[in-house]
Amino acid sequence: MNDSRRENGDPVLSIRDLVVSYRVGRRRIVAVDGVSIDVYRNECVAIVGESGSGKSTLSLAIMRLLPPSAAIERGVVLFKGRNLLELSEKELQKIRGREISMVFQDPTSYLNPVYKIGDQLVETILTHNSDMSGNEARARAIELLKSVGIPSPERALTYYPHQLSGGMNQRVSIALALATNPSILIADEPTSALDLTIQAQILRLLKDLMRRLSLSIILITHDLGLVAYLADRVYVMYSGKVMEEDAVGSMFSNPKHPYTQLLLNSVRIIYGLDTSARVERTEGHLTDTKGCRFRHRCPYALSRCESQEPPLVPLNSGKVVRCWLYG
Amino acid sequence: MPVELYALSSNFKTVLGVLRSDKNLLAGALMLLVFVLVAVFANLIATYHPLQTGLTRGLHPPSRGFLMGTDQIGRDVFSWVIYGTRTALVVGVTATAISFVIALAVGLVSGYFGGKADLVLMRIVDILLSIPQFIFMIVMVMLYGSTFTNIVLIIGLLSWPTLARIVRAEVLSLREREFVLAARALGASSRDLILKEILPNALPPVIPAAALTASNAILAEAALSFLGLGDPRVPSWGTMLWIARQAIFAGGWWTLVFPSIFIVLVILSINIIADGLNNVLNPRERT
Repeated sequence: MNDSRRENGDPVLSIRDLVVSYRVGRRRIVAVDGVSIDVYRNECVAIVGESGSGKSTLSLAIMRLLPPSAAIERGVVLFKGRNLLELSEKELQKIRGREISMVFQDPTSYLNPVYKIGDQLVETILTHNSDMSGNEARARAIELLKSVGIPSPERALTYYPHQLSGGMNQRVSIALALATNPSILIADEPTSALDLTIQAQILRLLKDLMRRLSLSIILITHDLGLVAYLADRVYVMYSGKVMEEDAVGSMFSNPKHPYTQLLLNSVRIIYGLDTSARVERTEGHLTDTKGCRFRHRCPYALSRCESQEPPLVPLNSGKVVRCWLYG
Repeated sequence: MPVELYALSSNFKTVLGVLRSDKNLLAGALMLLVFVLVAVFANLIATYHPLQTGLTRGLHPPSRGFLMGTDQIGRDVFSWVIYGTRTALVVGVTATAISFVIALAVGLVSGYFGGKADLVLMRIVDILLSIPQFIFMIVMVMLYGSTFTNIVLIIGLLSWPTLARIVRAEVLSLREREFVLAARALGASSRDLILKEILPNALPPVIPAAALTASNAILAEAALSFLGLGDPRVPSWGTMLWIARQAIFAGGWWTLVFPSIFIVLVILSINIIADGLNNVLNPRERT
């Protein structure tokens, strides 16, 4: 598993030392702090973390979809030899949707309510293939809907988003995102708004699409079940920093960073595997700049953690950890 | 959610469906339809040419020959009022179309881009709204002359600020909606976002307001004509009321009553339609 990267040559997408901050009034809050991430071809990379860890900000920053209150201060997002952070808005429009696409959490609110499914698909297809005729685009739309497992695609074209269920709308969103054969799909909590059985279907679909289209997926989630099923490699984020990076198998069997251990434990507690423990409460420590960000919640905190921030240290077998316990 | 809007735009059958869904809307639409037919077939309905005078038949009371009597210089009030319907509807539609287009452009640019453009455009709106509109119209008509085209243009060019504010408010909230972000993530340009994602969703609250703009435009034209600023070559209800001002003292009540009834009924029907459209397009605001 760990070799999903080596097999596939150079990374398709390389994020280096990305720093994104928000301005809240006069305060500057750093949401993504020096994150470096690699995504290889045909690989699913999961970015895991709790609310406020900066994972969604990271996903929006890749395609520069951040709100005006956010600023990318530093870093490089390298895609096919180009730094996405230096492209003009026009050039970016050619990459968004065509090369890198995105699927969001709540499918129904991410589809325009006034257009039929078919019109939205055809529109997106034509945006990126101006030489295509209307009929060709329609045929492609039907083919796409079929590939994401929508039962009668011809009929589905004539429906409005509010006439379809959340699961169906998520399939439509995926079809939209895949309309022009992107090489990377960013999925931000793609199943959180769906019920359990539908979640499973969407997951199977994503896994299947990954294999068929040799797609790379960047999966943003807090759901470790999703990670275990879909991901090849995992980055654990906490308070804007990557705390641990590993292949999915050894991440689950041998978590190193105390935060990763805590995350995995909380799943055990929620599913009743460990009834003696309590889920740790989260407390915000946004203003910390010195020391390890996790030290307030860390059961093993050392005096060193107060003053010095641990670096990312590679361990054997490709695991990378940011913790003084292993420094 | 503007669930009914695309129903409106999609085809005739659903338009009937929407009309049937709201009784007031249907009533108003039927009333207005009568006026539209009157306006279209005015030349068939009218018994005289509205501008034709006859000094021997001045202030003739309503009779079989002159259904609504005549004015001091013998013009047939019935024919005048029938042709006046055409005038009123042309004013309503054209002036509204002008202000609607300006309002959309200003509201979309102001709401979507914000910043300096927004600041400048909204201050223009503030200034226009702080000048008494009707007086502004009077001054403009006096400056540029009482031709029918001038009157329609002036009414249209001065009626957009309120509409523009409504559009801007809608755009401000739509801009932040998830589907706009999703469209951006799929590579839509600003132009696409404004025209294809935001505009169609911004229309539901604007359409009823535009209908009210139409009734206000008709009233404004009637009022201008009543003050003697109407185009004398165009039969307008307001102009007849201007004439009635003197005729009434000679007992010519019909010159006052019939045009007034038409004005009231047309304004009423449009306002009922505006109200009905608001119920159908913005169901959450229903009281």
